[in-house]
Amino acid sequence: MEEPIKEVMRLRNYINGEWVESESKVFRDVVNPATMKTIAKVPISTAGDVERAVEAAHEAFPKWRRTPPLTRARYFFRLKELLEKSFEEISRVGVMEHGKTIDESRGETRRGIENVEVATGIPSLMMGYNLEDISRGIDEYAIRQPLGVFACIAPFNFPFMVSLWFMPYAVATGNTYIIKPSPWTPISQTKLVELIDAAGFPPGVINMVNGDVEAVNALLSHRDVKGISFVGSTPVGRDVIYKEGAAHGKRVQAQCGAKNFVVVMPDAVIDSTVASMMSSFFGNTGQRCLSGANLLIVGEDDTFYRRFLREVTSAASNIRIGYGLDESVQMGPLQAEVRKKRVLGYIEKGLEEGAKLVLDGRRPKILGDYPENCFLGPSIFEDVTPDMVIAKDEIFGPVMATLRAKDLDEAIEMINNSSYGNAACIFTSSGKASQRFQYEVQCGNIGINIGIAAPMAFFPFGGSKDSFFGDLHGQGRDAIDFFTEKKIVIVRWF
Amino acid sequence: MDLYTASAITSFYSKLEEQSAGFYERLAGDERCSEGREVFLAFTMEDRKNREMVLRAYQETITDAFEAVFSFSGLHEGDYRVNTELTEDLSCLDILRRAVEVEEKIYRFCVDVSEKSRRLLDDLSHAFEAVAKRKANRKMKLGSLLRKHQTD
Repeated sequence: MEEPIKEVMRLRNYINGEWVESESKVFRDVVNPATMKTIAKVPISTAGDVERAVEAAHEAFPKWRRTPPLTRARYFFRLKELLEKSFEEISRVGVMEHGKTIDESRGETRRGIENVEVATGIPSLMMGYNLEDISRGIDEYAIRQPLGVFACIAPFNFPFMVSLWFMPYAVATGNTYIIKPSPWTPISQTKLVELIDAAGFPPGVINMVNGDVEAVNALLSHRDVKGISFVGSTPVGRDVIYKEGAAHGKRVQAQCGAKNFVVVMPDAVIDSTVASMMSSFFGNTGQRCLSGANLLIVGEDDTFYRRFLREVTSAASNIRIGYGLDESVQMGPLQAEVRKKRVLGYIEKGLEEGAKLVLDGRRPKILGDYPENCFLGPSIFEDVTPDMVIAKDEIFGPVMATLRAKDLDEAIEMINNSSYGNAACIFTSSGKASQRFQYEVQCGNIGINIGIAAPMAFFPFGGSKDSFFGDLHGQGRDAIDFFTEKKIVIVRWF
Repeated sequence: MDLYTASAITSFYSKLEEQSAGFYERLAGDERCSEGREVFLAFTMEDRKNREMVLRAYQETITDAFEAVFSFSGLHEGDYRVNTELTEDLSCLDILRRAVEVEEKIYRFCVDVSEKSRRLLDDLSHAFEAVAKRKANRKMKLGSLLRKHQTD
């Protein structure tokens, strides 16, 4: 297994086109959750570090804004080429810092690159529109203009990809940018910024400040930061990012937590559905906001219910758990011990509430000689009811809660009663059922015979209710709207 | 060893094609089957193109949402291993028979992977299907070389 990180890295910030030490003396260990070895030390930057980054971005803005969109796009063409060359290294770093499998990490890297590809189309994407003769001899047009400095506060679960949901669109439209990676998984962002540097972006256009709460608060309250993109938990997204950002007059898009239902109709194609369930519930070790969490089996046919649950349980019990750089591994560890502890707490809670644990992942068989600290196997509960905590809370781990609904009406009602609205999926052979599902379910992303309804870069990443706070989502056309102001011009010549 | 993930599948396939390309490259420079030299050189190039195509299909279409980790079961590496040794004692006829065996194994692997990945990883399935077609073609070419050699 080739590990790209050979010795402990000491990470730095990237401000005004230079790698600089944080003024902080506080460093946190970045630990490979499969081996429990420290692979990097990340600075917990201060408000002063953020101040310098904002200043650099603010100063770079006027010149960058004047740079023609086609020229701006060409920087991203260069970045795309560099990303392709580093594809494997970045993916392997992702495994080491996060714990996901190499397939999953390559998938994440690819998703990130796709956003860079879409942003290279900015000369077309950023076009405004016009109408002549709104009144005789008078024309009117709308032009899009960048606003200034934007920032992203990224999560630990997709450490490479998430900043790329936002940054390429922001920068390609003429804004300048600050990335604040998760302190748990900051290494792939350092790799990304190394490539940004190599692509030759002018100093100050893209900056990176490592850190935690202090850096976040400094970004949120800084007068020159025009907008914040956030991905993380609902309490932080709603109560901190959205409220504080709005209080300081910023644009905010906060993509938050989830509790996604996966509905299985009695006419589902069982083999393919079961394989999709594995990816949906246990992919990325359940640490993603689009993961299946509640398996909702529809119908009063006990035979179908038993058969389906038996097959899902059997497939889950055969998942190979280990270090994600081993190509035979299908599920890696959780990202940190603290996350495993949290998931274990929910498993205990489910048992206390009376749910039946039909697959217990608490003592997993691990391939290879690795410490158990962060590893958990898949767990499956049945006899779960909608009022139970394990059916309502986001667990963010490899835990499936199985519920039943007598028909599609009841299934849709259950989904719509959830406080979250990130994603919902249906597995069925019925076009009518899926059409109704798509129409009535109150969620931002819908999967029809798809277990992870993850929008591609050219579509916005949906989300509603407690899963999203803001008006415009990341990616696609929403991103262009978020990062630009529409100016309307009305013209008459005498 | 069993192959469970798309990563393991493409790595193993990559090794097969490299092995096959090396085999034909050596064979092209071998006096024992010199009449097939052009064909073997073409096979070498095609093997490397196939490998590139499959890796591109995997790397350019794999995304975090696809079922790359859970689509394969029941594929055993041992069923598809190839012998590409060119020992001194082999005649041209033996070598051509060995080449047919190599092609048959890789063809079978491509067909099996294509079938397994059809529902959930269709791009990968198509890439392997395309390679399988080329391998089937190649078996015919080798077959005619073999027949020619037998009648000579």
